[in-house]
Amino acid sequence: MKFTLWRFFIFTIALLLTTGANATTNVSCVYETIETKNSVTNEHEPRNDSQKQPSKWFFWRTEKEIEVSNAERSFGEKWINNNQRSVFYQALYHDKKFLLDFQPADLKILGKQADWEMRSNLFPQSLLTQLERKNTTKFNQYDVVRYEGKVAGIEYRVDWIPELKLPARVEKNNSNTLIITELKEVYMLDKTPYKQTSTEEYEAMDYADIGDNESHPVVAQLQKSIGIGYFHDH
Amino acid sequence: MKKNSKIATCALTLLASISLNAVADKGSHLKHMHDEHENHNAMEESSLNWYMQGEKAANQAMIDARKAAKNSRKHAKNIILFVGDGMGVSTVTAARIYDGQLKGKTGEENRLFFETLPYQAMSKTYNTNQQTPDSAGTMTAMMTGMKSRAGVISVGQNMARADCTEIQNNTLTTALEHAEKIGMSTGIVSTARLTHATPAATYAHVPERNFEDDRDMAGKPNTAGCKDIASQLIDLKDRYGNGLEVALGGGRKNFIQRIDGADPENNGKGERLDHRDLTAEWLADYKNSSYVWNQAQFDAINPDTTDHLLGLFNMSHMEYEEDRANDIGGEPSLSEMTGKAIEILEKNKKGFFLHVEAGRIDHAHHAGNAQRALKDTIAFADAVQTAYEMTDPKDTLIIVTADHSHVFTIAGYPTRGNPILGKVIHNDTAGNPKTDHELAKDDMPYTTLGYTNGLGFADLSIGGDTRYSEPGAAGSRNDLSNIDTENQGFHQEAMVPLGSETHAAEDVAIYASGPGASLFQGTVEQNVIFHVMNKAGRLSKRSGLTPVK
Repeated sequence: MKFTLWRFFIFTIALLLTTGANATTNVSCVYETIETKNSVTNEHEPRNDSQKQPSKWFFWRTEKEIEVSNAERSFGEKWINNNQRSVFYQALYHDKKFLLDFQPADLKILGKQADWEMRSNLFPQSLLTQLERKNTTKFNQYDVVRYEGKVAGIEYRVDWIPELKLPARVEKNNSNTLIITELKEVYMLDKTPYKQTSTEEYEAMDYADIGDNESHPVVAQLQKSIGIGYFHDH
Repeated sequence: MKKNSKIATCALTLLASISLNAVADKGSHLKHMHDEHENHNAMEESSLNWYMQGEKAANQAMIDARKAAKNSRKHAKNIILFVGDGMGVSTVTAARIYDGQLKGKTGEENRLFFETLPYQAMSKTYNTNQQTPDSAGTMTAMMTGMKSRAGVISVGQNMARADCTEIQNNTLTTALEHAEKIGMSTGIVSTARLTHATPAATYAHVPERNFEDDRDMAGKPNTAGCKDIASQLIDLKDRYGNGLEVALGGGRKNFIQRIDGADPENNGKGERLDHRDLTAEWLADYKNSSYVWNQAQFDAINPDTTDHLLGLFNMSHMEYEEDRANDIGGEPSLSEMTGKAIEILEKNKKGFFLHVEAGRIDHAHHAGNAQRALKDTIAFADAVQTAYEMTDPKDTLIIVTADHSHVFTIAGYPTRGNPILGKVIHNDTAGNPKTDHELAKDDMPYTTLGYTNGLGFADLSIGGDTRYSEPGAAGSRNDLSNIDTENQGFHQEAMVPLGSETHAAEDVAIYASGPGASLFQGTVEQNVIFHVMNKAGRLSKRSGLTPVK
């Protein structure tokens, strides 16, 4: 009897620890991404790298919602996860006070279903485990672990914040392009100076209704861009 | 007592005879269809056989013509209006060929079930303010007998879109409302949201098709006097009769509250801000009522003990037929929904009015994905056959039509039996099939099916609405040499680059059977469809309702 209780106690502690380890911290972050094209024409010639302007973007995360927005706060994306049962997606056109609703069935056909963890942590855990763990540093008060390695021909250097389950910095380097994404600011969600824009008043349209709304002023405008919904990817 | 017994026996004999005649009549039509199909399969095609087949069809037409005068005066107890959304004539032709080819035949000689109905006419679809129409204005014409503007739901043509100020004098009475007032049972079935334009025009009145729930109206100017479409479905009982007996389709989000956990399938939010859960109200309002949202619950419904059935199988539209098997909660087919609806509605001795829509033919065309449009058209034809087989052609008027067409073409000179979704293969100079694909002036092969406008070519792993997330490719040609154009992920080429493929303005066909069906002749305005239903069902005569409220 005593033995059983002891085992139950151990099991409960283990379960709590596991749950704690998996819990999502509600955060608000500012990231910056910069892309550099490596245009080496000859190994004896100097590199002639062309660098794109750094782009700043916002990231908000809770257990049930992930939202990103561009620096201008004109376009954003929101992923909604209801008790891990289904994922909904919204493309937020803040400047037009308009949003496109994607149902789980839409995400399924678009092949955008299974990346909640990637969206939540901004870097896939499966990939992180393939990299070599290096030294530990700090970002603000957070411990940061450096991971490095090459997977499928791409070199990665990742500064990982285990407590937040977010990267402080990701360097992704293939033969043509170097992309660096860097955490600039991080806040607990309830303390952030960067509030999410409320979309409650936005006009909402189902993704499946785009075709039937050719003359809708916002849809007509969006249709001039290349594809609707997924042109903002990190 | 003995006399009474004799009368009873006589009446029973008469009833049995009428019933047997009806079964015989229906049976003869189905047998005729079956025989025709079998004969065509069995016979070697020859000049003489074509002659005989044509003569047989003409003889049948003579029989139908002789019956027409009598038929036109007959009264319909039940009325079923089938609408294939966007199912233009080219869609019917291509679907007929596709259906035949899926059955292992050459395809062209095949007929979809509704093409065998005895009476036909052509319908002019324009809206009062638009040459090429939309579904809202066209369904308003069919349901009220009055054409109206694009984008408005069963309100008059003088109303400005999205402006409710004049709604009081512009609310048009629908056939379904007449039926409710008379005491008939009523039902709507759609693969689109039940609040989408076509089904909405049967029960709702609003000058903006997008006012599907109260959140859609929030913050908009000039909405006073209007009610959102979903609430009008549930509140119909407060206006006419005892409300809908059957409502099966998509659009769950418009009926449930905007709070976490409102949706039973995925625990998500609905759209309603007015704290109303319309699914709960449906259950509370009616005895012997049920609300279902997945296939298992639907299958478990016993029509004998269910008098009011609400089924909302998706938050938005239901799946395309191509994708239905992959639905998360499981969805019934259009045919299954039609069958269940009839089983519930036919319990009313006063008869019933049922509207069935294949709502996603239109969506697949908009996305430029012919395969899904054709598969949904075949599923639609199956639903018509189900309805025909479950009812009596002597007392049930069945009308099958489309609200509008699409810019969908069947082109080139493909050889007989060439896969309808395939690339064109010509005949040689002797008239026999070549082996290689025909090349256009740019030395590239081309498909039989195409669109005049839209996003154009794409070869995706899953077709349909996925097209909107990919760059447009219309206006230039693509080398299809190594592309499987018959695959469900293939999207046909288009000429004019637009964000989505558009409706087309040419006439659509009307197919009909049952009492009053012979009133469909020639080319008619689309609003005539209401008047045929009205005459055959004596709707306004019995309801006493005026055309404009």
